[in-house]
Amino acid sequence: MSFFSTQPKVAIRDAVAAPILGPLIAMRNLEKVFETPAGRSYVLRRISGEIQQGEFVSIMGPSGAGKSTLLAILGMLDSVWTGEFYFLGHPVHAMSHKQRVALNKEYIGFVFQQYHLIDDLTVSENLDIPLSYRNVKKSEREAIVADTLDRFGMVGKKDLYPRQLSGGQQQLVGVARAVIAKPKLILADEPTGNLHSNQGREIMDLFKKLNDAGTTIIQVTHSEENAKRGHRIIELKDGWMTGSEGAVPA
Amino acid sequence: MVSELLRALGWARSFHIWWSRDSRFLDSSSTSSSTWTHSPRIFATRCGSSYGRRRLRSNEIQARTIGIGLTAGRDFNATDVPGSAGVIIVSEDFAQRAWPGTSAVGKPVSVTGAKGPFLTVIGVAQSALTFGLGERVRPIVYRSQLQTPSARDVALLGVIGALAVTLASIGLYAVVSFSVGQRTREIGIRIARGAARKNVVRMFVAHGIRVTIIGVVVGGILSVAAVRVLSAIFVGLAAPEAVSFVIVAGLLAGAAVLASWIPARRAARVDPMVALRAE
Repeated sequence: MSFFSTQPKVAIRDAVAAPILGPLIAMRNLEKVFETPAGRSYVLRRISGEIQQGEFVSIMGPSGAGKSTLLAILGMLDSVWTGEFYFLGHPVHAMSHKQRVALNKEYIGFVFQQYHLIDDLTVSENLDIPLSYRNVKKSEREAIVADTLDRFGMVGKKDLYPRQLSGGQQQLVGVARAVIAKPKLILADEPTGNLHSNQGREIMDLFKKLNDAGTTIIQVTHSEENAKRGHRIIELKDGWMTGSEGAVPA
Repeated sequence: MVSELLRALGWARSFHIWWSRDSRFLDSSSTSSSTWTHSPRIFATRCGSSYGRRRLRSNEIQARTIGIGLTAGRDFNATDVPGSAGVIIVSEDFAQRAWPGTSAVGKPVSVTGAKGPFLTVIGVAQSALTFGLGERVRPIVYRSQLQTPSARDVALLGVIGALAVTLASIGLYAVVSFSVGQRTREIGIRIARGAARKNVVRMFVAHGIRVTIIGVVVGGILSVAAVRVLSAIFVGLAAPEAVSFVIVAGLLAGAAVLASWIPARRAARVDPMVALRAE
């Protein structure tokens, strides 16, 4: 974004203020490009569309299609792109880094294919990370972590380290960490990619439950079966959006 | 040949002393080996180096300056400065061999050559062991540190000390930077889970400060112990003042905080998606 942008800057407190009604996400001509010695290399091209609150969307496509890049942009983790992106009506494209961090913190939870738990921290401590960056008192944090452990059936594992858990259990902790701060949106980058099919199915069941409870879910997946658990499939190829199947839930 | 080379380099100074007796000049290397079973040593002592803060009575001063009692003459005092007449204290052992049967006080001694310049003996000290209990008594002369041309040595020690602190700081910086680099993925995870850059920087600096406090406390205790051991071995070694400890500890603590802050600041700017891919 240019320094001379005429788009209004949004204050942090406005950025995380009460949501504006309308789509959760609206994209207009979103593009990401790398300048290489060989010329411009587009990762995403003219991505436009909306994702409503409460949707369960799967993004599919071959490797290198730009799926994970799109997810990173939607999660405010990638800030180098052009186009317009509105989150709950707030213009993300006009926001500073701090404001985007504030939005991420308030509304978004991430689940990764490699779980990305911190190896030196126990299950409880890993769950505490998102809360520690929000203005929550220590006693409240402990209570929330205890509740979440209970909800995910992991009370007996709270003092174990990630390496002492199976892949499925680690991903369960990953999902628990994503939802602990009650996000409106969960972004999952191939969440079952490293799991056995049974464990994968359990994680998808969990997503379905969270979605039924009102959380919007966007997942990147290679699995047709997992994609069908959602309402809609967005297809990407070579950075272009080549299709969108399914219906937005009423 | 070797001893001349050493002397030229200034390393053998302490093994060669000249003095006059009966209008003749003698030196410690040319007199018979029965006179000198061991070559003499020269020590520089600082006037009042072990006086402490307490005011001492005049007879105490003699015994205290070098920690060895005097049997004749006087101790160094504040008037023995670079501009005044050169003075020296010799050990009883030296006095008896150089001037048998007569008082050594007032006699000329040179530590630089037969042509002088000569220093006047102002006192005779008890014989002493200087490097350890297993040592045999050897002749010793003591010079006033104020009159000893040791500024260069002191400066050299200062440079070596500064180099040691600089090397320690660089080592510390490298270790802490490396540990920040090792935690790139963790930084990515924390940023993805809502950490602001300042949270990441603060986390690493706090960790750096915790490690530094432990290091400074342990290092401080070891240094005090080392100084005590060295003071017991080397008579006349002035104990470093508390301010030296504080300055060095402060320097290292500063280096540690910088060593955490600079790489942490750089790491916090990492694109979290890149950091998460850094397995």
